[in-house]
Amino acid sequence: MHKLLLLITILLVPHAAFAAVISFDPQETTVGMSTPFLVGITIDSDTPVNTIRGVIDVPESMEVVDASDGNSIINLWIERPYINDARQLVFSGIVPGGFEGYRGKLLTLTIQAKREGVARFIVNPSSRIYKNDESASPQPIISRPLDLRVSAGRDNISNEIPDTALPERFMPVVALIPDGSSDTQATSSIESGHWAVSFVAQDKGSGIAGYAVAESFSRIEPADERKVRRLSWRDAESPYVLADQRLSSYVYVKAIDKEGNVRIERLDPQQPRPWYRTALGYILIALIALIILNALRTRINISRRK
Amino acid sequence: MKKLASLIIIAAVLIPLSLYANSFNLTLTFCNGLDCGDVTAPSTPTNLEAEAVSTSQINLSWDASIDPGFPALGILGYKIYRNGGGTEVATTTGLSYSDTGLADGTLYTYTVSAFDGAYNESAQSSSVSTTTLSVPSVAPNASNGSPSGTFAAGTTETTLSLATDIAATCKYGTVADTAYAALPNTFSTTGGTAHSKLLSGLANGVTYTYYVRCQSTTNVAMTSDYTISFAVASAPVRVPGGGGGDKDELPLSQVNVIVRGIAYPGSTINLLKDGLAVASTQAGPDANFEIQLSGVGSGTFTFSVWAMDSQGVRSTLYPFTVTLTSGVTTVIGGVFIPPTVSLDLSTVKRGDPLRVLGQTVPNATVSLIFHSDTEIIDQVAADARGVWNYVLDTLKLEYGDHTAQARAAKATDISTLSKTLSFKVGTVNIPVKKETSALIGDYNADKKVDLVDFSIMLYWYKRPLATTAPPVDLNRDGKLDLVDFSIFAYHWTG
Repeated sequence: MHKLLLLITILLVPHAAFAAVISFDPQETTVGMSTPFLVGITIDSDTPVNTIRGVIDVPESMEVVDASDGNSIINLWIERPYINDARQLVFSGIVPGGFEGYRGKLLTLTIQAKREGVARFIVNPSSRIYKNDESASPQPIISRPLDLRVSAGRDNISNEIPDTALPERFMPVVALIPDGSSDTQATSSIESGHWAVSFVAQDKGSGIAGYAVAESFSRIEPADERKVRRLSWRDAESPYVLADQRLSSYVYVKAIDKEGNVRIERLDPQQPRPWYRTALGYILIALIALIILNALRTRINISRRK
Repeated sequence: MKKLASLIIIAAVLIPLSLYANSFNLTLTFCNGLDCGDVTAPSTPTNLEAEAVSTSQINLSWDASIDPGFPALGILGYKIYRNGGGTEVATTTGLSYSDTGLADGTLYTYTVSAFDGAYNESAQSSSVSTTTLSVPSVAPNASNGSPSGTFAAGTTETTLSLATDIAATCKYGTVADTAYAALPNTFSTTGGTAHSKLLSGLANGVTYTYYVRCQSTTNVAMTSDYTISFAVASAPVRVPGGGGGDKDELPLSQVNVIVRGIAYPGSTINLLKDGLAVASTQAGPDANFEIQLSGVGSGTFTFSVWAMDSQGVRSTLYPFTVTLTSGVTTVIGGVFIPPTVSLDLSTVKRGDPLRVLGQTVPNATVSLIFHSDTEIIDQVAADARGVWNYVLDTLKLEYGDHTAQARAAKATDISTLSKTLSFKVGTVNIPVKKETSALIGDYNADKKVDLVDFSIMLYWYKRPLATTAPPVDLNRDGKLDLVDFSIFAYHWTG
C-alpha cells in the first residue's frame, strides 16, 4: 500500500525533489504523416548534474529523421545522437560545471510518422544522469512516456524556421593524445602518442551536422571560398589525428550546421618549416644553384680559351 | 568504623589549633567559595575617559583599581554605568570597554566601579560624558538606473539595477508614490551602493515601469520615486536571411553579455561559454567583478565562472544557463562564487586539530559543513581580505573518512557550496601533499582541465585501457565510463 502511494506521488508530482526529470516536448500530441514534426527532449533538475546519457525507445511506427543539438545544454558530446540496433535513440555528453534548472533542452528530434495509430516514446531505464559532485553520484530520473496519435489527414505545423547563422566561432587545439605507446604520458615527446586536433563548435540554430579537417602547407584565408574548396577536406571527429605529425602544416577545421552553414577556423603550424623547405626556398636554392653552375661553366670556358 | 577514626583525627588537629589561636586573639576564617571574609571594597577606578568613535559607539578606558582586602582576592572586574543608571550596562575584566548600539548625536554619561573576588564593589568613579558622532539625515540619491529603452521581442529576462551615493537598502514596486516601507519588493542585491534584481517572465509588447526608493543605513528613506522604465517590442525579431557557406556574421544575431558578481579580493575570474574559456578579469579589493563579452550569438548558452584565490586555490565552477536574444545586452548579476577551501592535513590524528582555510568575500560569514555520521556545522568570520581560517576539533569525529565543504554569506546573499574536500581521521598526521592538489583530469599537465583532456578521454573511450594509458579511469574501477566523465566534468576549468 505504501509503495502504491509512493508510486502515485511520483507520478503525480513529476518535479519531485532530488531527481532529474526528462520530458518530451512535442509540438502537438496528434500528428500527421505528410511531413515530419518536432519533439523536444528536455531536462529539469533541482540539483546540478553534469553527465547525461539518454536512451529513448523509438516506436516502430516512427522514424527519427534528425536529432539536432541546437541550443542543447550539452556542450561536449561523448556519443552524438544515434539510433542503435534496438531502435533506441542514444546520446551522451557532459555539461562542465553542471546544469541546474528547468526546461534545459537536450535534443530536438525531427520525426516522420510511418503509419496511423498511437505511438509511444519511452525514456529507457538504462538512461543515466550524474550529479556534479566529486564522486559522480547517480541522480534518479523521473520521466513520462510520450503518446502520439497519428492521423493521416492531419497537417503538421510547419517548421520552416531558417537557420542562416554560422556556427559559433570556436578554437581548435592541437595537442598530443597519449596512446599508451610509451611509459611516459602526456609529454612533448612524439613517441608517447599522436598529435591530434581537438575541436567543438556550437550552433544555436539547427545544430552541428559534422566537422571536416584539412591540412596544408599553404596559408589560406577562410573567406577565400575558391581556395578553401581546393583543400583536401576529410570528415572528422574530435580528436582528429593529424597526418602531418611534424606539425609543419596549417590545420583547417570546418564546422557545418544542419542547414549547411559553415564556420572555418585555421591553426598556424606549430613547427613551421624552415625557409629552405618552402616553395620559395626551393626556387631560391635552385636559382642560386643555377648561378653557381653558370659561373663555374663560364670559368671553365675562360680556362679553356687560355 | 573508618569514619569514626577520621573524625577523631580531625578533632585532634582542630581543637589544639583553635586553643592556640584564641590565646593570640586571632580569628580563624573558613572560606566558602569566594566568600573568604574579605569585606573591604576595592579602590575607585580613576582617569575614566570616553571617546566617541562613531555614530553608535563610545570607547571607555580607565586606570586599574587595587584590592586592599584580606585575604586579597584581587580585582575580578569592572562595572560600567551609563547615564546615572543604577544597573550596570556591562561588566568587563579589562580596563576598557566599547559601548555600541548607541543613538547618533546623543550625549552619554558614564561611571565605572571595580569589584573584587568577594564581590565587594568600589564607589563609582567620577563621571565622564561625550556625544556620539552625528550623521547627516540625508536620504540616498539614486542614479544609473537600468535597463531602459526597448528590448527585442522574445526577451524574457533582464536585470533591474541602479546605484546610490551612500549605502542603502532599495525596494521597488509598480505603483508610483508608494512610501518606502510599503514597497512590496526588495532588490536581491542591496545594502551597499549597487543594487540589482533579476526580472523574469517578461512579455512581448509590454512597457514595464518600476518605482524605486532606497533607505540609508540611518533609516532615512527617499521621499520621491526613482523610476526605471523599459519595454519589450511586440513584433518578433526576424533574423536577416542569407546564404550558407562563408558569409559574414549577421549583426543582429550578436548580443553582449555582462556578468557581475563577487569572488575574492584581487582574484582572477574566468568566464567560460559552453565550457570553453572566453574571457577573464580581476576582482577589485572589495571582491566585486564585472566581465563583458561581446559578439555572442543568439541562443541558449551555459556560462560558467570560476575564480582563483590569492593562494592559487581554485573555486568550483559557478554555472548558469541563459537564453540570449538578438540585439539585447543581457546582464547576469548576483553571481556569488563559493569560497575556496583547503586543508592542512589529508589524515589527521584523532584529537589533533585540523585546519580548514580559504578565501571569500571580505567580512563574510563562512559556514563549514563536515559530512560525517554526525554532521557538524559551524561558522567562522572572514577577515577584511576575505581570508578565513577554522580549526576543527577532531575529537568530535569518529575514525574513518570524512568530507568538508564551505559556503559564504554576506548580507542577504549566500553562495553555493564549495568543492568537497576529503580527509581521514586516523592515528597519525599526514600533511596534504602538493601532488594531490594537481588538477584531476589534467592529462596533458597544462594546468587546465579542458577540451584537450576531454579529447584524450574520448580517444580512450571504448578502447581497452592500456597500463600505460593516461589516468582517465578517475574512479579506478578498471574502466572508462560515464562516471569518469562526470568526475572529469566536475573538475573542468576550461
